Amino acid sequence: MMKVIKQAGGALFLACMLQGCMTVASISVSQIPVAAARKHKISASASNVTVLLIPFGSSFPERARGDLLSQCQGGKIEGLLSKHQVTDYFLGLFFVNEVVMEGYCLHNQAKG
Amino acid sequence: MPLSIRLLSAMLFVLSSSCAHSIHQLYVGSMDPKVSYAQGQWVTAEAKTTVVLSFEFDTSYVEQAYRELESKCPGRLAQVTTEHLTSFLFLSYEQKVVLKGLCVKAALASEKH
Amino acid sequence: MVIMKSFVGPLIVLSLLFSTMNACTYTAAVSQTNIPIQRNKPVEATVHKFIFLGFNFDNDEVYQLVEKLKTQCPDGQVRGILTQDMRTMYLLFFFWARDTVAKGYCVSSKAVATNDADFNVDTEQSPARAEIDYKESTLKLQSEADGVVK
Repeated sequence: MMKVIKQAGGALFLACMLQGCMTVASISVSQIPVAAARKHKISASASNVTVLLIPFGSSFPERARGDLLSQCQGGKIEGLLSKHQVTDYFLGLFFVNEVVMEGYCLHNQAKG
Repeated sequence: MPLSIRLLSAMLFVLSSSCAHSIHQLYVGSMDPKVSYAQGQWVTAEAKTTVVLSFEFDTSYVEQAYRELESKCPGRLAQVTTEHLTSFLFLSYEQKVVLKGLCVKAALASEKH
Repeated sequence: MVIMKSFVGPLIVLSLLFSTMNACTYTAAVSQTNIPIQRNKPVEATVHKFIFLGFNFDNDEVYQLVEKLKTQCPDGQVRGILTQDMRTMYLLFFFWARDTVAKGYCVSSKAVATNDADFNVDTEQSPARAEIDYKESTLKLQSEADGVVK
């Protein structure tokens, strides 16, 4: 019985080490357009890794925004949800900072 | 009863009684110009996830709250307020997102233009 | 296995030493507001605060961000603001700096009015729309007045 518990515990520990434990660091939501305008959904994400407390850049929010903008040229973006999350691997020795942005691209009605 | 056992019992009581709550973030979004608070009604959406032993593999509850908020308002949602909270339970905790927005009806929006 | 052990230990120690002696920047929070069409004039503002041994008594420096952005866009509105809150750790984490960066786009008042009026999905009555409504109502009143005179 003890052996089974130990194995199960070991498997769970290994799963957590490899899959990574996530934490939501911050969230923001901007004004959401009317339902009729929620047609063209766009999303983007970017991340930076930190290994043994050494971060490899912190430009990920700007990269995510750049990606989002490239998906909505000539339009404005509303209903923006931004989610900043941190995923820990190997007891936090390695972690990934990621931002996920999604919103609606609105094009000028007059221009079609 | 030794002091260590008493302390341990007190800690166990605190951990199991769900008496600790914390708020991580409160974000108040922008308000649309020339929209008054009397023009709409406040709608709220919330989503949560229970994390056991700090093993959290999914953060989709954030998007879930967003979808719920959207579904509750056919009009425009102005000044969306975001709250991110944690309630501590026995060897686990609950992560919660509460979104609140001013729903301005679609009819009202089209009337304006 | 023995070789791995002999490498991993010093590697971890060296990495920890490197990270604690150098300035490492970590992101604490990110937020983003609605993004406008007119994105040809980016504006950026940063505030910085140095903290020793964690002694911090206020966060008032953040308010300077608004003023800094306003001075860069005197004749318009700043929209599409991406805010990033960061911590930079120095020397065994005894010192740290808090940097808050806000990046947005300066949209001219005229463009704001036109942009908002063109989108029939907005709720706000834009200045351009308000002007049209005003002109229409003025013409209506004038034609009614003309009718009375006739």
